[in-house]
Amino acid sequence: MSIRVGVFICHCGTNIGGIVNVQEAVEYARSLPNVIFAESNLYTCSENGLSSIRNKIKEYDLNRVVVASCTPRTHETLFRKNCELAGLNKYLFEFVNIREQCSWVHMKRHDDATLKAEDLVRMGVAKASLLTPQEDLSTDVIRACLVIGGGISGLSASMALANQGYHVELVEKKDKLGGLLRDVNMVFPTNESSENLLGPLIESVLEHKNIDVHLESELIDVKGFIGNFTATLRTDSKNEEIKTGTIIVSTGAAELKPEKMFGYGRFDNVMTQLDFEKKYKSDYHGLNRVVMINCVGARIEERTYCGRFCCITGMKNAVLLKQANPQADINILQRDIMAFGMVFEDYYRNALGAGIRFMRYNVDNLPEIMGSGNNAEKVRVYNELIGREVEIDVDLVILTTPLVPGKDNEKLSKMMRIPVGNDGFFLEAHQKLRPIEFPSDGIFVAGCARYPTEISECIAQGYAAAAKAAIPMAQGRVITDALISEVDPLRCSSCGRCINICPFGAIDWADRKAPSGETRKVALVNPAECKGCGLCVSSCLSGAIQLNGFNDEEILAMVNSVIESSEATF
Amino acid sequence: MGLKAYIHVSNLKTEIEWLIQKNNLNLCLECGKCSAVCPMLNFYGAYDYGRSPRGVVERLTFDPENIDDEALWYCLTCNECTFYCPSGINFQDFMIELRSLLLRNGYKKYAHFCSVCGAYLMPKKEFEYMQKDPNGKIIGELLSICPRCKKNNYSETLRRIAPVHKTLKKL
Repeated sequence: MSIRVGVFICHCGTNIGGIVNVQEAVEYARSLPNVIFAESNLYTCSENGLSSIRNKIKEYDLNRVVVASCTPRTHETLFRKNCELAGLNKYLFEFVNIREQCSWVHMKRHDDATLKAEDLVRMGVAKASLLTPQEDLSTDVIRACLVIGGGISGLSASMALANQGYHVELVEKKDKLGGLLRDVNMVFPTNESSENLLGPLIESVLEHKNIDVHLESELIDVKGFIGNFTATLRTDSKNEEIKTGTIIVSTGAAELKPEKMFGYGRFDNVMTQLDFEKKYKSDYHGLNRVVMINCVGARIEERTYCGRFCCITGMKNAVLLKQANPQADINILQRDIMAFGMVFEDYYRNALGAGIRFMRYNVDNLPEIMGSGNNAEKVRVYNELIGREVEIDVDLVILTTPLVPGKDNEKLSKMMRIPVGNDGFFLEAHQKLRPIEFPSDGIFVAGCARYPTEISECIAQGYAAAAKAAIPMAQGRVITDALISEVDPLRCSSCGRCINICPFGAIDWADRKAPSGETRKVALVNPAECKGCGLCVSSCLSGAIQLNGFNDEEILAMVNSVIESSEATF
Repeated sequence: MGLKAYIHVSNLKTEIEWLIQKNNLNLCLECGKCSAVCPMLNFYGAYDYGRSPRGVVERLTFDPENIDDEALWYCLTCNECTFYCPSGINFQDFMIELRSLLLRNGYKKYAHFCSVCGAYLMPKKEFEYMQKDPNGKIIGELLSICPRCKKNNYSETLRRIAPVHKTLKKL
């Protein structure tokens, strides 16, 4: 069958037409091999332009279309769909950029820009002549979500999904739901008990008919891709497989226990904020001289981040102590106070007004805890403001420590191919523009698994992850672009480079039987996960992988067409 | 001034603590604006951190009894720090009230008084600085008399500083 190419060159108003001589380019296009028809449009993307393309496809029986205009990022989808409407496979369309890559960068050199535009059109026609029809892939999505971790984020996400009608498999390592929040006594700024917050939520989750709760269960393995994940759980030494369409990671974090710092472990009355809340609950009898030390194990060389909400936790406990014993002497040794936003600024002001003293210390001159036996008695600290050392008698020393990444983060990262940042917490696809999601489709993160966050943000992130997970589940199908890579198993040397380099985890090993009966492993691309980035193609030393729509033959044809007969004089 | 009826325990430490609380001094966020606008550097040359508003408050909080300190008499009560403080701390009132308290309790070493009636005029440091006017003329004498005494001796004062009127000269 002969190739019949139609070329449509756009003026784009004066964006292209004001610099490139479009008519000359059209004349030139008519002279190219395989080109049956060429015309120019004022705005090819307008209804006029689009219908002209459709009409010419029919009239001239075109089987390849080249549009020379702006960047594919604007209208590729539009033009492809337009070809489909005219009965032409949408991947038999080639987009040539003569605006961003030609007219806009050579605004003062009209003649040369025209020659360059002609070169680019020639390249486009050469590639278009080699294009083959492709089909988009569509996979079904299982309408269930696996939520890993039953803390406040996981519980919020589960309720949000279950109430929409989706099935949720909630997996929790411990024997109770609630996560870190279980150990917290009162929550700030309302100073109400965490039981008020958790109790009703846990009950609703346990009773909900759409949620299956797996307590004392650990995740052993995860296989699959968006729409079709298979997770293996281990409960009571028995393995169970569950199938879901999406995954939400809400595994939370742990409080840092500052071994060997400030007498922790040596003195009985030196403890962390959570230790304090667990031990004393609401009975603060006899605690009249309290010193809190902030930024313990945070904002230091080995752990540079700030715990974000531990300042406020300390303030909350200080206020509760002061309310119970108004004559108490409470000092908070700090390096800076993080109390962001109106609510927390007001809380800080109240704490100051109540007579709690905030004393600044320097990280180069840490406070010293002195005591006898296993009882801490004095704290000595160099007060930066008055320029001398101060000694404070204490009944209790509380160390404010940040949250640290969960121990299982590395293991989960490898299991599901989700990235972990420098500090050990999970890393989202884009810190600014794409929170909650990972580069791998269908997996989302919420809560302290991502970074220490306070309760209202954990809940919000749980809802956000549920909203994102609901999208593919609501659509019921995932459609993937046909321009993905494919491995030729005969050429694959099983080196594994492509598998390692794929950022989306779309390539994996597959068994292949040789005629001799032997089985060897070759790389296999999962079309549903592949995004067509091409990294695997460049990494393959055997030339075994090709990217549909950008294969070696097509690219080399473009290169050859420009080397052999270029007339531009740049 | 000098009403003591509301204080039941006339303990210096407690009174200072009361002044601190009354003027909101414990709301300090350590932002540093007060120290930044304080004109002490221009006046006294050497800027000692201990003499800055924050420094004074912090030291008093820790050693309320250590008040025989010249640094407490450096402040000009110009109101700049109070104006710029984002937490609403009234340092000007605090300093004025604190000095009044100190005087009542006999700490007079660093204060300057009227040479006629003995009323408190200003800190000694301020008086020393203002001995000379911008032209170098010594006007210290006038600073040694309180406003009321100055009024009572008005003609005497005027004769010393004002030029004699043309018509009077002829007489």
